[in-house]
Amino acid sequence: MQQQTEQLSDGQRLNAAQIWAFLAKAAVGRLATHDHAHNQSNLTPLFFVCEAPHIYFATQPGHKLNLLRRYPQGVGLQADAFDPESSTSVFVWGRYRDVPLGAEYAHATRLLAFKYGTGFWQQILDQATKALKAGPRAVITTISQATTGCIQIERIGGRRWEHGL
Amino acid sequence: MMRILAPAEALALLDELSVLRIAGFDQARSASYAVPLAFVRRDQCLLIAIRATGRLAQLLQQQPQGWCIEADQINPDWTFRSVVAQASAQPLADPHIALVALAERYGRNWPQWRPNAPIQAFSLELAAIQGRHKS
Repeated sequence: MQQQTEQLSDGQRLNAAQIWAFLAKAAVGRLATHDHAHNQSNLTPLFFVCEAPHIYFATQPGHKLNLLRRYPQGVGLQADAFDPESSTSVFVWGRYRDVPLGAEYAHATRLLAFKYGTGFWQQILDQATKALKAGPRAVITTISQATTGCIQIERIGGRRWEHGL
Repeated sequence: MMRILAPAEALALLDELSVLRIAGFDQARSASYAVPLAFVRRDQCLLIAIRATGRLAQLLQQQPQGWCIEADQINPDWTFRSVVAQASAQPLADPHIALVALAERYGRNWPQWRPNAPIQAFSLELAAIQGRHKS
């Protein structure tokens, strides 16, 4: 398992159950992708839901989705929490895939809606409103291009540091 | 509403945020790599200090180009402010300058970030700085 935070002194490695529990509660993660053609890494904040060994998220077309589809292997998601008593950082690696319309898509959407509540639905509403202003064709395009993504997790790592010890 | 920040605004936002995440590609593992870091800004560069024997220090030495940094403030209602930039790493011969600057910035919280010796400091030169503010 990989050292997670280079600046924090010796920490305690988290076990798999602790890592999954942390990811389940983490409000936001950072998606790490790499553009191999230009040798350039990318980091994007991501609202996600974790159902081991899957990370689900909703996204629209753009650079992030292009990279995920072009280079699906070795994608990472980093999440952390810092408070006066302790710091935690986890990183999971896996392979990206689009979730096709169907039972898994509906399940992932339910999980996201349950986790984020009004924030999730507000996001949908904002996109719909934006599309409506651009006309009926934009609505169809927005709906048809909305993507639910999945990272199939293959490796996990994480540490926690207690402060003041 | 989404607003794109001017580069100067994005740099100024970095000064408000206490943690960034840096990501690169670990060739040996054929996978992306990302960790949180404390930092201090000097114009278009960020100073960091990390364990010289750690994975990140090795990777930054081996492949100084192609890194990405991201810092953000994300709210429960999905509004946020964020900065993303490309970064290239330059090791500093003397980590003292970075350590003093970091200790000054973080004050009494610095001990929770301070790496174990031996320490290697880097300057991360930023490019293609992008800031966004969703309200």
